[in-house]
Amino acid sequence: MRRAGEKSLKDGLYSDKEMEIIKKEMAKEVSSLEAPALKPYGYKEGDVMKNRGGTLAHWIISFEDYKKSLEPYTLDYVAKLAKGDPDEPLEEFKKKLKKLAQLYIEKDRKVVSFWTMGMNQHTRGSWDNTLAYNVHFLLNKQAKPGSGAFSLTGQPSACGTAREVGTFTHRLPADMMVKNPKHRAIAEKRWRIPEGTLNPVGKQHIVAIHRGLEDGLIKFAWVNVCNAFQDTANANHWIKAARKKDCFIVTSDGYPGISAMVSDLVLPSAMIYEKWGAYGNAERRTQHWRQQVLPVGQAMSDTWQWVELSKRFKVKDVWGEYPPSGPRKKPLPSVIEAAKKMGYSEDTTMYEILFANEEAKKYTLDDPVAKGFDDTDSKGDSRKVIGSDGKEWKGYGFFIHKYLFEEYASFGRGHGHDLAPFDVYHKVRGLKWPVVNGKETFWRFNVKYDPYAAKAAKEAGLTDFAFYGPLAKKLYPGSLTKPDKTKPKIDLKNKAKIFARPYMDPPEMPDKEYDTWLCTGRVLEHWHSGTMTMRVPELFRAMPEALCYMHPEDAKKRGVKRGELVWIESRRGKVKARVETRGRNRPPRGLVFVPWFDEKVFINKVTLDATCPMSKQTDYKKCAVKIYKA
Amino acid sequence: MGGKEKEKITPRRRFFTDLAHHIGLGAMGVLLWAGYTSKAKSSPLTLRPPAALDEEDFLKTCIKCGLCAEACQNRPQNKDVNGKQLPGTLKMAKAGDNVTIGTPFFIPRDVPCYMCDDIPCTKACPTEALDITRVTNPKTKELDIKMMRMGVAVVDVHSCIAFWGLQCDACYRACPLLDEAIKLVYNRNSRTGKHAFLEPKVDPDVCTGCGLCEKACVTEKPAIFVLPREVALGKVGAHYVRGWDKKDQQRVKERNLNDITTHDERSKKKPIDYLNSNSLGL
Repeated sequence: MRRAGEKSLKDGLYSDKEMEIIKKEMAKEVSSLEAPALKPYGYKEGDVMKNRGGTLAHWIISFEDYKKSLEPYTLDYVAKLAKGDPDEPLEEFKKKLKKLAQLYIEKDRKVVSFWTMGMNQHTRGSWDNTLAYNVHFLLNKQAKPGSGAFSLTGQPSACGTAREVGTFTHRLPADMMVKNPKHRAIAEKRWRIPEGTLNPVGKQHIVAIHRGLEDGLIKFAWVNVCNAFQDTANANHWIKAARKKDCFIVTSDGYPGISAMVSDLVLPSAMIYEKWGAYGNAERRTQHWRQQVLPVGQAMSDTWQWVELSKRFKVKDVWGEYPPSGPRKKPLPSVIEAAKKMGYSEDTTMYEILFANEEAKKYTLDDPVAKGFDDTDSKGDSRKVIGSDGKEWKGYGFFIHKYLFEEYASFGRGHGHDLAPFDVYHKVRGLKWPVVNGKETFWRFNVKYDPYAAKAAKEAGLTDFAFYGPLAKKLYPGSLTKPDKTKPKIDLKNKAKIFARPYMDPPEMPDKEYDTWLCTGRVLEHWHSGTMTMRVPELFRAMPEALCYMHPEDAKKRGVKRGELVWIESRRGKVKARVETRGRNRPPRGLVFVPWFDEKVFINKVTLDATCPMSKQTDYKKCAVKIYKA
Repeated sequence: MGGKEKEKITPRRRFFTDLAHHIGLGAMGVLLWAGYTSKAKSSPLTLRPPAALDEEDFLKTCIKCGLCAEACQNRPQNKDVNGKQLPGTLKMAKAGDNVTIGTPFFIPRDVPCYMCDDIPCTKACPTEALDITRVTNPKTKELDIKMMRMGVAVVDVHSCIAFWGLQCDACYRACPLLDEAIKLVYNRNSRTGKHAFLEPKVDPDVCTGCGLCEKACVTEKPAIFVLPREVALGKVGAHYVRGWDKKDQQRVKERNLNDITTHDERSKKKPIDYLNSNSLGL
């Protein structure tokens, strides 16, 4: 969500049409549709709500207040909000809602609710998620065999490699946060870097990075393991920024995509089984693999590329004072003196500190797990690739992958995120953390299955569940409108949280001119941007082109036949796509679906870059477009 | 919709027809000769355009003019997003195609039929070899491409990876009549004990034979493919009817009692001779 005063807005980089929606993100009038939902929170139709900083506070409300927050959601109101098909009779839809509710509340019925990333990709995606959990908690159908809310997001990377490992700018490994000084201290100690080195402000989520490039706040971006310039909504702005602004963009990839097209430097990356690696799945399962084949051409792993970069930075280059920048209002202090006290010199490289340290070198190349397998990073390979120093690459000389994993795993061990030793993952087909005494955990927070829950329950005298963990476990009480800071904080130890969340309109909804909802998404055949899968001949043959899936009546109204080209145009951009009215996606009247895997149908030029204010996830599921014959 | 509109003759079209005339005269001799060779006969696996008459009648009626293939090639939908012309579905048979030379056919694995709602190929046919009534709803008089029966999709369950327990669905999702012409049947995978087979199953009553499934199939040689209906489908006959289905019971009336015989070769012998013959060596 946008806030007044952002540089690009002041610089006038957005058209009047775009500003219509951006203004709604900054301040909105309560609509008649959302007024009933917002009434318990003290708003009425026509009130103006402003998007201000610091509005994401949490506090505790009474059960009575919680019930009040739910009062507006009568069957009639929910049906009116939720019914998406104008041709479906309201009464029929109400029957469906009732049936669904009946299934969930049936006392002995087990229920698992699965959802994928589409549910998160809304401006109220975080609220959606908490609401799904609410239902399960309130019905006592959570954290049990056969029952639970289950977000299926991020099979290979979002969950296991971003959240768990902490690669987001606001996170550290094992669910720790950069803004928490205690967490920073733990990470600084483990990484052998001076106290105060880590930047305490991590606000650069992906959309903010693109805006930062446009604003000139960010001068350098390195794209790894994704196709960021195809993936991001409102792409016209970011493509233009990457090409026109004074910034340097690097893309590491195995295949050329839109990101590579707008980059100043393209580096060839080794793909999945061309390197050692691991991933974490949605069900907390960690899986590892060994390098199976040598990379193609001169490609090297992303890890290698980062480590090689670290050789080029010395203590004196990077650990001096930094002035305030962007969202960070305070300077970062110089830590050079502190580094010297730790035994580093001004000329010690980041490589020596972070990677080729004494601990790392203990992981030797004669490790039985590595025996008989290629390891381009640690040992070099028969391709005799010329390394970043201009000489033949012969490897780091130690088992870098085992070191990196063991160092990362040490953050979570003993803290409820326990991972098994590196060697174990090469013997089993994945284990669900926490792995305690060699055993994986099937149902977390359940005393019967989770040793951490058992321990916490024993201490607290609980029997079935213990929702342990330190985050937001002491909060002020308050009403539905605000916390009461005069009262003492309430302890929520071992308790799960149920959130009061209202319905709210998205910033952009169809109107007279842009009269159709646009929903984007995926097709079974292709992985996200299609950067890899569009190059697999059989997948390309099965699904060679992104289509605009439309209701036959909507096509007729616009005078287009199935298979003909249309323009899909929003306030931000337009693309051409072929219309399909039959087959796999049959949207209701008033909505079109366009998958985003096809760079030739670059639908993210059209989508809106409005994000959930909590998760910063972009709303790829709804914006308003007009459609006409091309 | 439904009527044959008078279409403008574009320069492109004139070129094709002129070319057809000239080539036609020259080719006539070749065709006459070709008519005597066995290769000139179409393979029984030939797939014809939508609404084609049955093969025998089709061959008698088709004048090999190429207008259907031209209409297929030139339909406005046959362009990619950059405006580039794509290959059409229908091809006119050349020597070596194993199809009667000069007649239209298609190979779904190369280019399937995209089932145009306005069916330009059938509308273009001057002789009713492509019979528009076959794709016209008799009640509404509107064109209905779903009525066409160019062939029927068949699954080779051994080479279809869905029958191995791998999730594929490519054909199911490619089908324009998803969940009608191809359905997924869920079966338990007893090998793993915790997964399902999602097996594609074609409903021949709904399948139009468009071949989008064959095109989409991910295996090296497609595990789902379109065959002409007379090749792929059996016929129950009137001996067996669904006793629980009133409509099916009507099929009993299809039976012509004169056609029914209980006699075969053995019936020539008299029963008494049979009894006395000791043919069983007792």
